[in-house]
Amino acid sequence: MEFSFKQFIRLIQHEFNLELKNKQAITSLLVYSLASIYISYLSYRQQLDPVSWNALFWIIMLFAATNAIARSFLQESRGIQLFHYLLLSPANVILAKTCYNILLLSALGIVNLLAFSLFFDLPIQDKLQFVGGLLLGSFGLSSILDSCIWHCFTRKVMLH
Amino acid sequence: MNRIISKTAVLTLSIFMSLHSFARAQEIEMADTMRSEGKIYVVVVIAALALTILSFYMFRIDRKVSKLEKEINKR
Amino acid sequence: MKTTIAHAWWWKILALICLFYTYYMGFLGEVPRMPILNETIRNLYFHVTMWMAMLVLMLCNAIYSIKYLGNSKPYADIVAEECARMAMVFGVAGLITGMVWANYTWGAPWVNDPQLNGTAASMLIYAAYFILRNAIADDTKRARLSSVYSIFAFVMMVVFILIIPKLNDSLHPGKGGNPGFNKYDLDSNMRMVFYPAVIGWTLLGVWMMSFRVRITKLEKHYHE
Repeated sequence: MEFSFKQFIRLIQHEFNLELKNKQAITSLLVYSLASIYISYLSYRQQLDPVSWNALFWIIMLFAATNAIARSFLQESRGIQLFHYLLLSPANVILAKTCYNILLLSALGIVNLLAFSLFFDLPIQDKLQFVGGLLLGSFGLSSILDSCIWHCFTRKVMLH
Repeated sequence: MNRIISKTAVLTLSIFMSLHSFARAQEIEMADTMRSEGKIYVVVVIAALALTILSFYMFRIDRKVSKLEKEINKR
Repeated sequence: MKTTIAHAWWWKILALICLFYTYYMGFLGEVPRMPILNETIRNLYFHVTMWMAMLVLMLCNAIYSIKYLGNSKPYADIVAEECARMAMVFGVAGLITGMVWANYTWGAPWVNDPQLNGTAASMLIYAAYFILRNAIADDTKRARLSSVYSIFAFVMMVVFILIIPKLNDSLHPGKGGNPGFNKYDLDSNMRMVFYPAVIGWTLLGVWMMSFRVRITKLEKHYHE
């Protein structure tokens, strides 16, 4: 089975539909990251040096990413998984999922950055470069986590 | 495949670069207007925001009604 | 379907009259002259009333939750959910308008203030209420669990918003040494606008809430 662009677009649409049909996943993701940012605000107050700010930001992003991506795999029913397994090329499926997760994580990263800028004084010198780094970071995070989870996941499907 | 990926990477990078230089060029100061005339514009903005948020919710309700109408008409 | 208070028109007219009055008097009425607040004291009618409406709707949510636990009719559960949803809309409006106001009087959109912390915590509690509702597939189980949860959430919200900030120092008026709310509206000019404003916004919220309740009822009726 070859890579086909049409299939790829349809798969991304499928991901969006899945997310819109069941908004619970995205709500809990948002509440998770907002609550953790808020708790760190309450515990650090205003004394947060740039290095720990950065660490905090990326740790929250990492946990949110793991949550989001693991859920995007678990969300599909077993029937749909088998359907994909039988009919679609695996490269297509994983590429679509990765692309979708890149979009999701970038959006989440922007929201997190806004929430951080609300609660803390931003130590960022150059905001646009940081946003660029953020987008590339979410690109990397989602592609790595997607391939990791995909690896475990396909093994589980085949074992069953 | 590889060519596509490298092309998109170059494209995104160049977009970031251009955005970067664009933001440096313009600097907007809003606070001056907001603080003038006894800060009355803050009140204007807040009163408008309250209406905006409620009407946004109204639009969501509207969409729900249209969905129900569509479903009923289909039958 | 039998006619209920939701089909009556008089309270909707009352809401609109109150809101017109609020907007008219809010911009043109006499207000006391305060040093830093200047004209922004008028936000009392547009920001503080959001929180009042939220509190009233959350109270409705708690009442209907208790009602549901008593009679286990699905209608009470629908009303409880929609009350909470509308209250969240008011809460978001209150947060955003509050941030704008704080930015121009206190100098920052978010300051470390017990009132703000309390409201943020209670908003998160109610966000968790919606996640809980979405997570349970079974109708009756969801209704029962979320009713119990919302009673606890309401108690927590009262503690967070109304009690703790009164015990601590706060930038909001009436707490920890700051001049009280009564001090600058004792001329009763502002009071005459504030109470109608609260009634107007709350009734508007109830009106919008009733739309969603009726839609959900129709949907259920249709699917059966």
